[in-house]
Amino acid sequence: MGRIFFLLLIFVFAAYGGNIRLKEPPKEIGKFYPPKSEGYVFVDLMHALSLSVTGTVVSVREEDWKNAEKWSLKLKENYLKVGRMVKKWDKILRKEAVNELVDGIKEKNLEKIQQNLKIIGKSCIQCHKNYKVSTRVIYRFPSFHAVYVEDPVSGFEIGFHEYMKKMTDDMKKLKVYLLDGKKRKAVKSGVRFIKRFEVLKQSCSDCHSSKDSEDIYFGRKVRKGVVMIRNGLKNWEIRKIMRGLKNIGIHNCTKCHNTHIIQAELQERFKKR
Amino acid sequence: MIWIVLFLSFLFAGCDTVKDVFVEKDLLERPESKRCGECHRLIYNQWMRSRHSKSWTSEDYRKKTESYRKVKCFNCHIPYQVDTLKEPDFRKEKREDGIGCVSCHFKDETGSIHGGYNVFSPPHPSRKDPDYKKSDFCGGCHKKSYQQWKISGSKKSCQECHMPPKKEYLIQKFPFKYFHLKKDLHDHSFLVPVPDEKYFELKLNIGKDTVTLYIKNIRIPHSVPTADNGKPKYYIRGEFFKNGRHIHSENYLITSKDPIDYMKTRSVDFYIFEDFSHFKVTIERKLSWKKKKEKILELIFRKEDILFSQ
Repeated sequence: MGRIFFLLLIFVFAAYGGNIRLKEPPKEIGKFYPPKSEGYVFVDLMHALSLSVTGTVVSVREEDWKNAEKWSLKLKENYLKVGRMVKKWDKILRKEAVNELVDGIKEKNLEKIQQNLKIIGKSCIQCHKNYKVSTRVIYRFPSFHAVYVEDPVSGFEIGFHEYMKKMTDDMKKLKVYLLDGKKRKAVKSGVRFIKRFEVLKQSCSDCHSSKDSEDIYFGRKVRKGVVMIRNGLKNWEIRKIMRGLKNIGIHNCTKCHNTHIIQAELQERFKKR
Repeated sequence: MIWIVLFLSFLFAGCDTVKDVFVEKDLLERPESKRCGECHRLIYNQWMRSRHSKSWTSEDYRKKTESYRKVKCFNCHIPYQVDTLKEPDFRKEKREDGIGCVSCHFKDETGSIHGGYNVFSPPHPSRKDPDYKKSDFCGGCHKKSYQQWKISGSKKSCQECHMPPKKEYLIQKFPFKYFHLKKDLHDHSFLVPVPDEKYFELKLNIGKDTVTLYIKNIRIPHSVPTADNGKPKYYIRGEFFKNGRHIHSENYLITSKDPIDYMKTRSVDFYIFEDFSHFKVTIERKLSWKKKKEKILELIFRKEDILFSQ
């Protein structure tokens, strides 16, 4: 019986090992991200901490002890600040190691320095492994739930997900009607698709406001795709319409989905919890 | 009584000393707009009606920035000091004031109020600054519209259309009201005039399956709709009629991303699904913050006239 239980345990762990788990970060970290704070305060701290680690390591390697001490004191300050900002994480900080590191540098004791840097580094890795992705997903990425689009077909303002669904439906219907040779229906779906696709641009630029970023997702090739569909519908050139759709698919849909869809889906899952 | 005090002060103390006596120091510490409104009531009331007064408190802005999450919007929504062709820094205090009086008119460099006139103003030092009548002054925030205007080569400044002047007193509070003669007071509600059919040139063409509308913006020296942010829209509606019976209609939404540029022709196709006798074109607009559309033009064409004009 014991053996079976042991085998079952191994099986469960082996199966579990194949999954990726993300831990939800402590709620208090939200205080350091917009809108509760102005700017990304916690991210700034992480950057400062990372810089002080590099400063310490580089200076120690070059035996520049004066700067090594300066950087290690910054490292200590930033490291301890993590615990002051997020109380739950205060317990997992290796405070004795960070003090020992500063002492090691003062004593120019390479072994002590190396040993304590390793301990500190491990604590960073552990925390990042558990929380880095989830914190980014929840607090760093903007939410698509806040995006509303005025539908040029119905005239109503609708949520982004609903809008995307309607637009995709138009595109699929256009393909179906083209393949089935139903011209009138294909024209109607095609016109609706173009209208919705063009209006989408105004919503994307809520965040991507510069001309350069606009050119990435609504650049020359995408505009060409729209013209091809429009002219294809007008002159009933099915191949041209299909090529236009392909252009848009490659240079717009895929690009944006690859950039946004994973974090948007993850964010949704966290929100549902 | 105040006149006597003023007269005697000038007589015995000289201009510089009197200037210091009458300075109201809080006016030099970037007060809220309502403080300016105590004297400049007319301008204050106009500003209260403007979008500038709501640039921070507007519900639309709150929603679109995910409750003020987008810090990059702050510079122009709560500017500390607006300078010509320079994106301002944002301020940390009195944010509810939005783009308030001092954002545009108080300059740290001179510690005085800048504006279009050189006036005697005992409560605060004033300076005449010709930039206030130039489009360049708006260009630091309204970058896109400014660029479009610049390309248009128009001689008309932003202020001429959006801040039309009217002869009024600068100040409404007694006795300061009578310190100056009536002057051209520029409207601080920042109007967005509604264009009409004179602003656009329309042409129609009938193809095999479509009626194509060609529309040209001939009088507004920037694209329409125009915006760096926000979602202003133009709506073009084409309706087909046969002997008075409505048979088919199609709406197009024009955004600031693909606008109708100044002096450029934009085409829109309307598919013909049935024979028709008349075609009606309606153009409307909706400003970013408005819920209702405003009509710009409505024209009805006979099919014969369209064919004849080709």
